[in-house]
Amino acid sequence: MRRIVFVGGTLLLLMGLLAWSAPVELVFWHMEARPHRVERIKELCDQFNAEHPGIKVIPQVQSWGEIYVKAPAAIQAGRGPDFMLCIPDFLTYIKALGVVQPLDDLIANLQGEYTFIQSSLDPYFFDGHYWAVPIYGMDFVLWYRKDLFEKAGLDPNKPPRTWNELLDVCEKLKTSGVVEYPIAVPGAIHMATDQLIYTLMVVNKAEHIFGEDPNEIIFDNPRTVEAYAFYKKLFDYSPPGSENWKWDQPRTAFFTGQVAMVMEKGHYIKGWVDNTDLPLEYLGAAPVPIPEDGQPGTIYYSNGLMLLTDDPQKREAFATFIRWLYQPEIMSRLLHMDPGFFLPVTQEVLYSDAFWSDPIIKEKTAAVVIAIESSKYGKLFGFTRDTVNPNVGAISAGNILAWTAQQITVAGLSPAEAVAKGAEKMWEAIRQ
Amino acid sequence: MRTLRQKIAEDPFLGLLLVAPLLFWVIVTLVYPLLYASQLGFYNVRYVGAPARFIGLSNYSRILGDPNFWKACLRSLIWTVCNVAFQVLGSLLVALVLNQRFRGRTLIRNWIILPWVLPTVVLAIMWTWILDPTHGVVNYLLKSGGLIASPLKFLSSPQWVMPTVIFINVWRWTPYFAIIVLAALQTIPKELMEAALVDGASVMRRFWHITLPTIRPVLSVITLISFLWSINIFDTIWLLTRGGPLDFTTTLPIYIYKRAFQDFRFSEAAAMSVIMFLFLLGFAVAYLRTLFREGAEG
Repeated sequence: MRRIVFVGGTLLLLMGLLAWSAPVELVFWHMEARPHRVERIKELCDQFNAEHPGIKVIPQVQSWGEIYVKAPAAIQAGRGPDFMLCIPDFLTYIKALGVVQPLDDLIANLQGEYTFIQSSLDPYFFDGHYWAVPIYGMDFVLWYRKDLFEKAGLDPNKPPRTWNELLDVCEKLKTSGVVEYPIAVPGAIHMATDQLIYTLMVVNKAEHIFGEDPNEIIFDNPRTVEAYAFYKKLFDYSPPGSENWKWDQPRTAFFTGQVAMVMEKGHYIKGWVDNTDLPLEYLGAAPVPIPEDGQPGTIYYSNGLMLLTDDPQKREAFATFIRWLYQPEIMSRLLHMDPGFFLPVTQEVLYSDAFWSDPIIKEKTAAVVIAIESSKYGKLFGFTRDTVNPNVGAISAGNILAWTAQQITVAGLSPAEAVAKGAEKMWEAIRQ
Repeated sequence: MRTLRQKIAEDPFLGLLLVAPLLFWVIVTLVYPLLYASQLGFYNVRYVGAPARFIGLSNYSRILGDPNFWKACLRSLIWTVCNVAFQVLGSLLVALVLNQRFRGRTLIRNWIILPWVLPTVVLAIMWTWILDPTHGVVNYLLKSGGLIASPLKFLSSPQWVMPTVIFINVWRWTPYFAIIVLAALQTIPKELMEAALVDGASVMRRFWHITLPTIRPVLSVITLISFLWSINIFDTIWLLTRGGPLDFTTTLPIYIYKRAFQDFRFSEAAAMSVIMFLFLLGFAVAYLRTLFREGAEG
C-alpha cells in the first residue's frame, strides 16, 4: 500500500512539474504560402523558440483563398489559432465573431520604442482600439522596362509622371512597334483589379468610399468616374483577354516583354530575378502617375498580427514574440523573404543597415525607396476614416471595384453608369 | 447451412445492423448538412459563426424577388440542357464509332477516357492557355489560317464564354459516357444484327429498330446522370471564369457560392441551396417514375 501511495504521489508530482515547465504554445496561422516565405517564417519561429524556452510559436500555413471560410469555422469549433496574419478588411470580418483582442497596451509599448509609419497603423485603429500589430506593408509603383523604352526611342530614365504622359508613352510604345500592347492591366473580378483601380482613385483624390458616416456610400462621384474613365483608356492598351487577367498574367506579359509597363507591388523585383535572365538594371520603377490636379498616392495596406485568445499567459507570450520580432535585425530578415515586396512599418527598420543589406534591395535601392516614399501617401478602401463599417469586408470580398470595371470593359457601360451601378452594389453589400 | 439472406429474412434487426454504418455515414454527410442548411435559411446569418436572428421566410421571398437568382437559374438551364444534349448525343456517336472494327480501335478506346481522368484544375489551366487570345494555339491557328483578323476572346467576351465553357465540359464528360454506351452496345446479340442484315435491313433501320431500343435504358440513365452532374458543376466553371466575365457564366451553384463567400449572405445561400435541392429531387423522382412506367409498359 505504501508503495502504491509513493508511486502515485511521484507520478502526480512529475505531472505537475511537467505542466509547470511546459512552454506556452501559440498557434500562428499565416497565409504567406510561397515556399521561400514559408521557410523564412518557420526559421524565425524556430529561432524565437530556441531563445525563449518558455514559449513555443507554432506556425501553420493557410491560404488567402480559403481563409475567409476556414478561419471562422475553426474559431467556432474551438480549433482556431492563437494569433494570425490579417489585412484590415479580414480583421473586421473576424472581429464580428467577438474573438479579436484589443492591443492598445502592446501598441503603446511599441510606440515607446519605435516610430511607426503611420499609414501602416491607421487601418487597425477603429472603434477606439488597436486590433492588430502591423508587421509589413505593401503598395503600388509603376514598373517599366527600360530596355523596351530605349528601343522605342524613349528616355529610359524619364518614366511617365502624369496620366497624360502615361497615355502619351503608351501611344509611342505602340506606334514604335516595339510592343503591340504597351501596358498590362488586370480586368478580372479579382483583388488585382480592385487594387489597381483603387490606386487610380487615390491619385485622383477619390479615396473615400464611405462618408463621415460609415453607413453612407459616397463612391458615386465625379472623381471616381474620372478614375474609371482613365482605367478604361489604359485597358484599351492592354493585351486582348485582359478581362480575365489577375496577378499572374500581367507579370508574365511584363517579364516576357509582351508589355513594357505595369502597375503593381514590389514582388516584381524578386520575380524579375527569378524569372528572367535580363539584368536587374532594365527594371525601372516610378511612382504611380497622377492626373494634373491629383495627389501622390497608391493603395497601401499593412499586414498585421491579430490576437485571438484572452488567455493572459498567451497574451503575454504574444507580446514577447512581437517585441522580439520588432527588433530591426529580426524584422529585416522577415522582410527579406521577398526583398522589395514587404516594406518596413517602423522608421527603425527603415533606417537600419540590416534592412538595406539584402543584395537585391541593395541593387534596386531606388525602386524600394520609391515604394517606401509612396507608402507615406498610401490609403486603403474603407479605412480612410476614423470609423469603419463592420461590413466593409463584403465590399472587398465581393471585388465590387473590379465588378464596376467590368461593367465598362465587358458590358460596355459608360464610366458614369458603371460607377452608379457599383455604388448600388456597395449599398447592397453593407445592408444588414 | 443458412445463407446470409435467410438469416436477414429471419432477423430484420441483423439487416438493420448491417446497413447501419452506411446509414450513419449518409446521415452525417448528407442529412445533417441538409437539415442545417434548411434551418439556416430561416435565419439572417451573414457568415459562419456570426450572430443569427430568426426571420422566417424572408430569405425565400427575397430570393424569389431577386432578378439575379432567376438569371442564374436561366443560365443553369441553358448550361444543363446544352451539356446533356451534347454529352448524350456525343457519347452515342463516339460509342457507335468505337463499336466498329478499325485499325487503332483498342488504342483509342484506352485513351479516349483521358479528358475525364484529368484533374479539373489541370484541365482548366490547359484550356485557359489553349484559348488565350495572345498566346493560345487556337487563336494562332485561326489567325495564321486567315480566318480571323483579331484574336477571339473565348473566355472573356460575353458572346463566346458560355459556348466555350459548355464545349470544355462536354469534351470532358463525353468520353466517360461513351464508354458506358459502348458497354451497352456490346450486349446487343450478334445473331440479331446478322439476321437483320440477312433480311436486308439498312444501317438506319438496324439502328432505329435494334440498337436504339436495346441501349435505351442506358441512354435514359446517362441522361439523368448527365443532368444531375451538369447542373451541379461548380469547379470547372469557377476555375475557368469564376462565373465571369461579369455574370455571364454564373450558374446557380456559382451564384450560391458567391452569395455565401463573397457577399457574406450565408442564410440566403442556404435557402437557395434548399430550393435547388428540392428542384433536383423533384426532377429525379419524376424522371425515374416516367422511366419505370415506360419500362413496365414496354
